[in-house]
Amino acid sequence: MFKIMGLTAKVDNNIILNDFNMEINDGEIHVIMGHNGVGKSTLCKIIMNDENYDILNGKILFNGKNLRDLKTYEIAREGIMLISQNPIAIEGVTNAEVLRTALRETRNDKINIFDFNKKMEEVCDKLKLSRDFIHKDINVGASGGERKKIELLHMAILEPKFIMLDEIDSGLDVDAIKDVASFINEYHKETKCSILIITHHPNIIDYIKPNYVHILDEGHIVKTGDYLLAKQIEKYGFVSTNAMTEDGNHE
Amino acid sequence: MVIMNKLYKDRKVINIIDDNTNLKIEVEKDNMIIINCFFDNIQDMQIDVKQFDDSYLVINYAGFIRENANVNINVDVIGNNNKTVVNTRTISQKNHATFEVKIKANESTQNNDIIEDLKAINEEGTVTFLPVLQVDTKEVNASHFATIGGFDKNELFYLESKGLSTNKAKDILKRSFIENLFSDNFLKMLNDRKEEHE
Repeated sequence: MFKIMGLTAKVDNNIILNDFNMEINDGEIHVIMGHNGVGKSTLCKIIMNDENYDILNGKILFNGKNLRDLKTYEIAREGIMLISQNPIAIEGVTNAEVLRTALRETRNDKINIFDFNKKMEEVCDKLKLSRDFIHKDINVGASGGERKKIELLHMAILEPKFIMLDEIDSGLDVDAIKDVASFINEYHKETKCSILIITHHPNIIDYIKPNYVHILDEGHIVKTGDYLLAKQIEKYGFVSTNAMTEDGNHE
Repeated sequence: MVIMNKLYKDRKVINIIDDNTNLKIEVEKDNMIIINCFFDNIQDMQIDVKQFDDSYLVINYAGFIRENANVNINVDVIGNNNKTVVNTRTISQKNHATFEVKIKANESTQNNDIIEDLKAINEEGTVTFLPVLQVDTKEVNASHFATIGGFDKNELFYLESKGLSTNKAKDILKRSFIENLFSDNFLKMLNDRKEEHE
């Protein structure tokens, strides 16, 4: 189970999250929606203990462990993965090298290179991603859509238990959104992982059905609902949806 | 160890691994010379090069700083229509090294193209770059870049978020920082040598 209790955090002296609370049970899919700049991506970085953010208060628990006590790589080794909005490119470091090294370090075990390569190729094929990317430098020369698929390749190899998808649909055309969503759905079905989707457009929710949808505003969740809440946001926008009662009328 | 390969008639590659013997060479007309240098432990060294006409010179110098050292690279461009590129990539692990990289475009020379690109990552040590472009002619295209910094925080965060320990992530970034400078052939030589020593 993933749980955030009373989280308050700042960046550059601005409070971004203020008494933020959330609970995600194993296997659940949650969506956080909100305006640009409201702190959705920041939340993901804070969960991964990015040193650019200061946590002032609160706990982030995953299977009973407080992630605040862990370093970024230790959090990753607990099975948490962030697929960020704009995955960076790193020249001179290939996808295969990073994934092999990560598996060796996290599982403390030797990797069977034949099995490893075979799995990488299978995943590339499923994602409709060129196999060339396996031995290419991370995200170098890759389009926005390819970068997202490369991150999903990493996901499939590293097999996280809790995944944060930050704007996974940005930069993807309709066909690519379907491919990506289908891949994530299949992974979710196989692994029963938990997923946190960050988005400000409800498009992706048409393809990945969430258990809960939350609206983030002023540093914390101001409204929670189901798939229909996302549809209300699409129709009326954040401000009007916030002001609506549960039966869809304005307060 | 100095290995010279004459790849074709007018092109030479000089590969230097852990040999800080001073080097003095001339790049003759219509010749191309690439000098690749890697040092596991950078020590005092002087490289002097004279460039005549219509030639191409590339010096790629990389390695780790563990002891105090002074490295001088002097290129004297005395002819016309040359291209000169000097790249350094160093990682300061301990102590201090000074790199003076001087390229001189002589009076009345024309149409020369000169680039100095000096980069360093500081860990526990430090480095000083002294990039000097002495231009005694108006007909030259010259530029230089010098960057000294730590590891890129975004790259470190990205690698750590995949489960790589901080040290392992730094090792990978250090390797790529240096290897990006060299050709596959030279990298293979470095790997072979590493395996011999292991």
